Amino acid sequence: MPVNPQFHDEFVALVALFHTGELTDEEWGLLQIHLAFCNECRLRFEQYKSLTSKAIPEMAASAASDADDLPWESESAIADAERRLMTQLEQGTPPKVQPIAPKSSRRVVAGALAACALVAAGLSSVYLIRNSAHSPVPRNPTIAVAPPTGVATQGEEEQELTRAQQEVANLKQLLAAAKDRESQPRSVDPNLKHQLDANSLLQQQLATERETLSQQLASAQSDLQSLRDKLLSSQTAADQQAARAASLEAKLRDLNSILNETNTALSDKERILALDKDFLAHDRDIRELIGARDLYIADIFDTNEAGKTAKPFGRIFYTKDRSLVFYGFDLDKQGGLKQSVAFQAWGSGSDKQPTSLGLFYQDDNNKRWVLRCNDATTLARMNMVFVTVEPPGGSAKPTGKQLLRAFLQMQPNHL
Amino acid sequence: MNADVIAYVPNELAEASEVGEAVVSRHHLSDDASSVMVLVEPTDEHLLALVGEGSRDALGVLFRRHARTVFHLAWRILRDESEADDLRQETFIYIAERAQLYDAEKGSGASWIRQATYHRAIDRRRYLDVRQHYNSEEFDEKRVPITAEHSSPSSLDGKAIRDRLSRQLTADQQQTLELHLFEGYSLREIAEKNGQTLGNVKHHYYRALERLRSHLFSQKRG
Ligand SMILES: [Zn+2]
Repeated sequence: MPVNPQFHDEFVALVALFHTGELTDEEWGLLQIHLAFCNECRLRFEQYKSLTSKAIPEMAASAASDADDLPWESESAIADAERRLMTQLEQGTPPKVQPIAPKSSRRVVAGALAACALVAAGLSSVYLIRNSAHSPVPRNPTIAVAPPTGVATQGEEEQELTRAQQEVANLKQLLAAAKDRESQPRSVDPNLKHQLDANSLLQQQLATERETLSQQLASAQSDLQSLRDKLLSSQTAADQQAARAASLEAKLRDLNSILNETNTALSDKERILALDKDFLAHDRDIRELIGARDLYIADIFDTNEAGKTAKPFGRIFYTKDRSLVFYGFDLDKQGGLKQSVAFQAWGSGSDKQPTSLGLFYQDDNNKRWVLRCNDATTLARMNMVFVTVEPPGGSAKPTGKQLLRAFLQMQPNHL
Repeated sequence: MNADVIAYVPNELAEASEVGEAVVSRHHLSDDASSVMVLVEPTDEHLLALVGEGSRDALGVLFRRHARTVFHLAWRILRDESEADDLRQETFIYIAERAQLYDAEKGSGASWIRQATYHRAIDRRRYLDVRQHYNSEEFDEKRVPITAEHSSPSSLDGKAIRDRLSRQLTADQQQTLELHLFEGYSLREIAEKNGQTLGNVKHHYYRALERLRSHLFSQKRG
């Protein structure tokens, strides 16, 4: 039976506000249920209690002695007060007693219905405190996946590369033609001096032309190489961007599924909280139990195949040897049940002989299954309680499928 | 054990010296002298022990010693002289009846008197503010839970705590804490007074109190 940290943060604030005397009865009732489950809040509660009973009076007295608007009493006024005190004590007449009904820690929840509207406001303000204190669960995680930069320009780069390759090819052709022409004059008649001079001039021109072309070719080739490099790197970047986009998408899916789980868990908690409020408001038995010194409260959780704790399944309010109130949720929503069945609770003790505690009935709202047992003899000898499916009307001994089982700790976990 | 108690008894109140009362008392400090009679100013703790045995004289000394502190503390919360006077009477009747429950190991006698005064005054104030049908638990030695004792700081200096806290709180937080805790205003009244929402005031109060809590309980852990 794991702890039930319903709305812990809101209760942290309620714990602090408890000693202001400004909690509504319903808030106080819900807080007590939470304190039964939450060690951290219980420790805090004790700390605030000690703070309120001891430290704050010291601080208030110190602040009072610092105040500059205090009324002054003469020695004779104090002597007179002392005389009155002694007279009062001698006569044994009770002092002007505050007409305050004796209040114990057992603040029975009353008028909770009237408080309902107020509570809604109260809780929502507490909720605000919580929200500003902690960053809330992301409701709609959206991640903008930007298109990989550079991909858009890829086409241009390819065109440029083609152009450069063409230019290199043209230059190579021109160079080959120039070499051709250079070699041609050698085959011309060597006797023709004029021709030779002209040839030599032409040769020089061709050499220059060739030199220029070679330079142009080299530069074009280096451009080509750099374009190739650039294209290669932009492709790598594009690949990286694509991988990143994929991982972001995966993360987004994860976040969404976490969000869904959180929402489901939250709606379960909300459901339980709503039920708590409901039975505080309507159920006189629970109102009377809350505040009992030896009250034990436990939630029973269903466990699914994965071993994960699933929905809360039942809640037990138990005061040893006096009273047991058992709430079951969704008992009838079990798979494989016949149309008309009864849910019967059994208590068993060290003698292993289960005793029927009675049949569950559905409450007026049909929201939950309820079972009450106030039989002191039965309660005194049991340390375990379980629920079985039985034919309508119940059985003398447990015969059907066991739905839930809870061991009753004898240590009260309530204040 | 006596030494421990004395170590955290706060300075005697100003009134004590004015009274200048001396009571004959047996002094236990020296073992060699079998029984030495000395004149000493009785401590609050000693007086409370005597009150617990039914001594009216000891109650009178305690009254004269603490009358003004009790009156001022009550007046600050109740804002009415005759209410404060009534509350003082009631507090000392409580002291006369419950002195035997006072335990010097849990705190000084003066602290105990201040606590009894403060809690009665706050309850009275809440009663007078009829809008609150709900009261804090009346201060009652019998009801202080044992568990709280273990975790509570043994030595409390109200002035020192206030000074340290005032450096850590915003003006709003400090004002809310002081009006509510030292002067008994409800959070709703503070909201009306300052033209703030109740939610805001609750928030200030919660922050301030949480600071105070961690201030008092975190040093304990270390
Ligand atoms: Zn909690």
